[in-house]
Amino acid sequence: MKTYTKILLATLPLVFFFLITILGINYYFSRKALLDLGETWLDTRLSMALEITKDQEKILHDYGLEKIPASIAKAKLDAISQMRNIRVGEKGYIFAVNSEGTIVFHPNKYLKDTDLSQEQWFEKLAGQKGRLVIDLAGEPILARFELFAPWNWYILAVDPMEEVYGVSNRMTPYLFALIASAAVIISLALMFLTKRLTLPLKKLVQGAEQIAKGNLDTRIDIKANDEFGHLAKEFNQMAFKLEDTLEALKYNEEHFRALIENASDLIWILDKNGTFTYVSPSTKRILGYSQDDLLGKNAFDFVHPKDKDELLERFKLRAKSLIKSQPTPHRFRHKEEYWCTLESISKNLLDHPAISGMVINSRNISKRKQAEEALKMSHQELENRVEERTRELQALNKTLNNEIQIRKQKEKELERANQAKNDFLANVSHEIRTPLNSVLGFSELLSTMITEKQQAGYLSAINTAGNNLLELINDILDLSKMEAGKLKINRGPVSIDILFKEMFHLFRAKLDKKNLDFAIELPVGPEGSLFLDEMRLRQVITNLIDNAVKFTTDGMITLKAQFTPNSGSPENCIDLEIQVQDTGLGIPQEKLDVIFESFQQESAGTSKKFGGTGLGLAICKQLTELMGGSISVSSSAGKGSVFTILLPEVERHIVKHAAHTAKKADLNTICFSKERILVVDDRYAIRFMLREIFEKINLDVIEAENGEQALEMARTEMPRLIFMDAKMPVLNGMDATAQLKSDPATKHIAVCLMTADVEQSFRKDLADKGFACSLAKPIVIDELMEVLNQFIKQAPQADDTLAPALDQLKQIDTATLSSVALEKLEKEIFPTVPALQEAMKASDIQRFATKVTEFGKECESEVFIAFGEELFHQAETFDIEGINLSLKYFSSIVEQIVN
Amino acid sequence: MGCSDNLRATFKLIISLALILLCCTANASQKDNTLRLGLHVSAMGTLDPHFAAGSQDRAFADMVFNGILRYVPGNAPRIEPDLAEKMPEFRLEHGKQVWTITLRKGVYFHAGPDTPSYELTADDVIYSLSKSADKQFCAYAGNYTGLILKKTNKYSLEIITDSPISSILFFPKLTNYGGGFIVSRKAIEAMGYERFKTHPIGTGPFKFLSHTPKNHIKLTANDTYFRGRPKLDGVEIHFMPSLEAREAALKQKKLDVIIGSGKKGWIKKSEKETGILIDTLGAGEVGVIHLNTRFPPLDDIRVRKAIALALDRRDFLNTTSPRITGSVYSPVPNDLLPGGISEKEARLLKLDYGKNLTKAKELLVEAGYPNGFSLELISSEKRIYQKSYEILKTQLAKIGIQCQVQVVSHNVMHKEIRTTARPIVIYYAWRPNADAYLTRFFHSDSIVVKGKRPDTNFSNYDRIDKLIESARSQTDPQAQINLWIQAQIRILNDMAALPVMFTRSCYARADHVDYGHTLVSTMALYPQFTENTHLIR
Repeated sequence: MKTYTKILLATLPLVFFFLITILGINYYFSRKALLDLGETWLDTRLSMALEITKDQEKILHDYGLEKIPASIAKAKLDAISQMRNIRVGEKGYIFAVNSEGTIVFHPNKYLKDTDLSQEQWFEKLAGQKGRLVIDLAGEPILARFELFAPWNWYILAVDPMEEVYGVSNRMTPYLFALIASAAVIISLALMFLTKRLTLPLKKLVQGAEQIAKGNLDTRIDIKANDEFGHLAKEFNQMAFKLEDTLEALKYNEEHFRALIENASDLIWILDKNGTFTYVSPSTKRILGYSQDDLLGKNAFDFVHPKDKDELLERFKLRAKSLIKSQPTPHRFRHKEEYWCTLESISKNLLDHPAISGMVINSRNISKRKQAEEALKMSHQELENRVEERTRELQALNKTLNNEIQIRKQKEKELERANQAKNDFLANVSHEIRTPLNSVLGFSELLSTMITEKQQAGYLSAINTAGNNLLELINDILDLSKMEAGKLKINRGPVSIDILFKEMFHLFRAKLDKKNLDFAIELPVGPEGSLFLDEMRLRQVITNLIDNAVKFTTDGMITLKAQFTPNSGSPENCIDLEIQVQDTGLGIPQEKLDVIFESFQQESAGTSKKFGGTGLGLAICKQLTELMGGSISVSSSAGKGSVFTILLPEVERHIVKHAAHTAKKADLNTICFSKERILVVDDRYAIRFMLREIFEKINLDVIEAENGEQALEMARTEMPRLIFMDAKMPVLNGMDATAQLKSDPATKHIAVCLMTADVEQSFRKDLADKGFACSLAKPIVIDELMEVLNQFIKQAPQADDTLAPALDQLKQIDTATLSSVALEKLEKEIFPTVPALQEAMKASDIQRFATKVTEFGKECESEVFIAFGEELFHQAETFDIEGINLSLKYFSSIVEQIVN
Repeated sequence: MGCSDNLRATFKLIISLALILLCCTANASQKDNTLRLGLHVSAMGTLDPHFAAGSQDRAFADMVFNGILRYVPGNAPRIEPDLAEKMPEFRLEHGKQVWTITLRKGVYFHAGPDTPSYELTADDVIYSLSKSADKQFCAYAGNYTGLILKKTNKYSLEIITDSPISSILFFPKLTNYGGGFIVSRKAIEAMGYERFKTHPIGTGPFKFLSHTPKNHIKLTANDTYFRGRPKLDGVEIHFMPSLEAREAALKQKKLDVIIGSGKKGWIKKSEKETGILIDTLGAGEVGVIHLNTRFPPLDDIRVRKAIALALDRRDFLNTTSPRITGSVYSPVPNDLLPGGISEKEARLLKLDYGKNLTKAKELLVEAGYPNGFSLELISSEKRIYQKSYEILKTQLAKIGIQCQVQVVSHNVMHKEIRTTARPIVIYYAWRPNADAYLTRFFHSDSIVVKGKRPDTNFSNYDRIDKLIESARSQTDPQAQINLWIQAQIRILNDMAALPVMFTRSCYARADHVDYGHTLVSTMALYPQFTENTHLIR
């Protein structure tokens, strides 16, 4: 029987058996699955309804509404409304019954509130969830239900069974038709496949038979891409490779023979006794022997007698494979009777059936040996020379070390001497400054007591001389520090704008006194501050302005800054140029080179006329150079001078939202009259910060978070001043201010714009927009205080040291004072204060303090007693400032009391 | 007295002369098909729609401009597409909301002094919305900042919002209200902004013709209006502060529509006039009685519920003409804004608080106040406030609660109720959406005096913060409305506030005027004249 028939008979019954089994199982499970699917489908509808109720319940739970009846009712209404939209096939629907059996939701609204508790199926709803079949007018209805416990609702998804199971009932006849068709198709397919499978097998058998007969060029023609195709392909490749291998073997043999014949090395084969059995043709060329000269002779007979024993011993050990092969040099006699040096290596092939000998490969190394000898001699000569030179260098090195030691010793001595000089200067300056400070302090005190004109003049001369001396000492100390390298540069963020303004305030009195104008020229500069040593820069500029003021009698002084981007430095660096320009005396051309040297002034007369130590510009130069910059001057006599400080590659410090680093006013010492301020800003942090500041300084604060609220509050609260943010939701600050200004009731209220917009153009026409002023963000307390000072008066305030007594005085309850006491206060005590303030005689002030203390005792007022005692103490200790403040404050409060 | 009489006579003479003058000018153009509107103001506020605030400004902007969307004429707050083909839809990209706007094709701007009529494109919309985001050029800029505008082609654009918001809070930005009016880019660029303010160019049914300051403004029909040529040839807005003058002109058919008066009896009297019809319309203010939940004895819920049950909304409504008032049953007015509770719903949820004195007294007894107690309240001198407090006082007296009502100026009342805790505050206000109502009146941050951002939470109420905040961040409008409603159910359940009534405005018209749409509520503060408005001669 052929393979084809065998396969067919074996597989066909098996395939039919599996087909019927699989279709049978499939039918069973499909029907079951369809039935389940029908119920699952109904379940999904029920789940959708339950999800709706759960979502509603979740809202109630999440927002704490579980106990609010109306919220629950609303949630139920919303759930019912959403459940109404769930489609349950053509005939099904969702409805809900409460645990008492009353319908709470039904698509037929007339059935709502119907009592179902008497229905038989209702009793079966006892569980949490399940399945029911309800007979409704003779038609079986399938119901899936689940209890939604939070509301005590049974939610039912119902649908006639005919609709739920319809699909599964209709599938049986289709299934049988499917089985019959599949049987016929499978039989035909199997026959065809078996035929296709056995055909290549047959071809393979025929091919193998041909190769076995030696027909190596036999190829099998199967082009299929299956296993048979692969097998035929491999078979063909195997036959092809067999042909190739035989060809390659033949070629290799010829190739190796040619290599040996033409090699430059000597190749010999010796038998186990050392007799030549093969000699390569190169032997004739290298050693002069022909093959006939050597074949049959013992090789060791040609070896140098001194090398022979060792070489023979090695040959024997190699023949027994007891040692490894390694290149061995030895001498071999040339045919012309001189010795050649060979390097030989052996391979033991004594056991090789074709060779049966020791293969010796030798190379003539005679020339190499001669060269090695020559090199060895040259090396020895070089070593001798190096040794000689090293000895000479060591001697020289020793001499140099001695010289270095001597110089170091001298440097140390110099450093010690310099240190001693600086220490001496510092000590002497300190020793001079301590008594000098006392002299200046007492002369200040004396000047408040002495009224006689001549004595006052003497005192003024002492004071001026003392101050000049102090200045000289300070300059010497600075120079000394710089020379000693002790002065360090400490960089931090510095605002040039603020620094210049401070300079102006510092020199304001002097400028006013000499009737000089002062100008600041600042270009639109880099954002933020610059990293500089503020103290040192301030010192340099102060010095330059001080000089300018001294040497200028008419005209003006200009303080300028230029910010130039530096192309060669990092992106955030700029070149800073500061100029101090005056219209004063000027400096002659020939003096310009020396003015930056210590103790140099334009002329000796200058020092006498204008004072000064002559160290200022030297200090400026050294400080500028310490900061990595340079200072220069351009001037001509009579036309003024321009001092230019150039600080290259100054790093920019950009802070966008950080608090401003400028100095802050001491809020503990500021107290304004009680006024109402409206703060309008959408950011809580800003409102909170301003509230904190304003409450500290006795102001009443109200807040609004947008323009609309601000309008309403301005109309009802009538604040004295409004701080208005520019950008806010609902209604912004610009529009709110426009509306405030157009309303007659609110147009008088001053509005200050708070903005981070630094553009000059933005702030330029603020007045046209109704703003009284502007305040830059981030808020700087000093600037804030400036704004407040414009609109609100400050209340009289107490010094820290007097705070308890003065605070008590401020809070005195006038009701506790009798009319007699009030009269005494008004007529006897109060009128004496102005005279005391003018004369400031310690004894008079002590008498007045005693009087106030006694007055306090008379009217049993602890407040006046405390104040009197404090004032007496101030007079005793000559606390002039304290006395001044106490009297000013006392005067102000007593005026309020008597009025 | 004599001087006063003389003045009055002179005034009457001036009005008569003005009327005669008006009659003459009106007669001259009587035969045309122009509608004349008399408003109570003396001059136009602005012609730039982005600064429109008064009723004259809004009426003008409504007729000359369109928005991407619009409030359905006469039926606000319903919104429908205007310049847009359909309602915008959004998608979320990297947490940002991207709204796509597709514009109608064939919408043309009016011809201007320096520009011919041309077709509206996405460039105009982007220009206009950018103008609206600039506080220098729009009073409502705050609502438009943070929007990124991207043109996708000639007729469509995308608007990207920083954080997702619901359509209820987003659509109003694009309507014909506030900064949503679309202005002509080319006209402004050609004329300059200052000249644009004297001759505005829009796409609306009527185009600007002339403006006689402090007298009138004339509009003419836009023949190429995309919804069809208006049935009216034009509209004139006359500025007439005197009610008597407006009434006289209407009676003599010199004006077709005038703004009326809320005085009690005025509507009734006017309705008796032959040939005159009265219309009332929203949006108006909502009156709510706020009960302080932390003020003894109102800190007891039984006391607050007793107060609510002792009050009768009908008496409050009776203080004003019934034509311009209506009941409200939730702090957010259901008839005017999405997110309110209707009367029917309130009854269904048993939150309508109908008058029930017996129950009110029982609750007071339960709370330990069988003989009632006294309350000190403060009222504005304004008529509606005084009347409301009078009714409150009378009705509460019936359950033994004695109210001392101090009447002060309106400003003082505003100041007092914000600085001193009061047991009961009656407050009339309009807010543009439910979020604004609930946040400002019922969020704990808004509690007067003590809140983080003290505003108008007179009830000192703090139970619905989470609901308000969740609703604000909802993008599904229905879910948002549900949360607002639940928040108000909680307010009513806790009786933190009793919503009482809303008030509307009223207009009188000659019976030959047909607005062409039903009139329930408008955001334009006038009855709205559209392409369908016509005169029946």
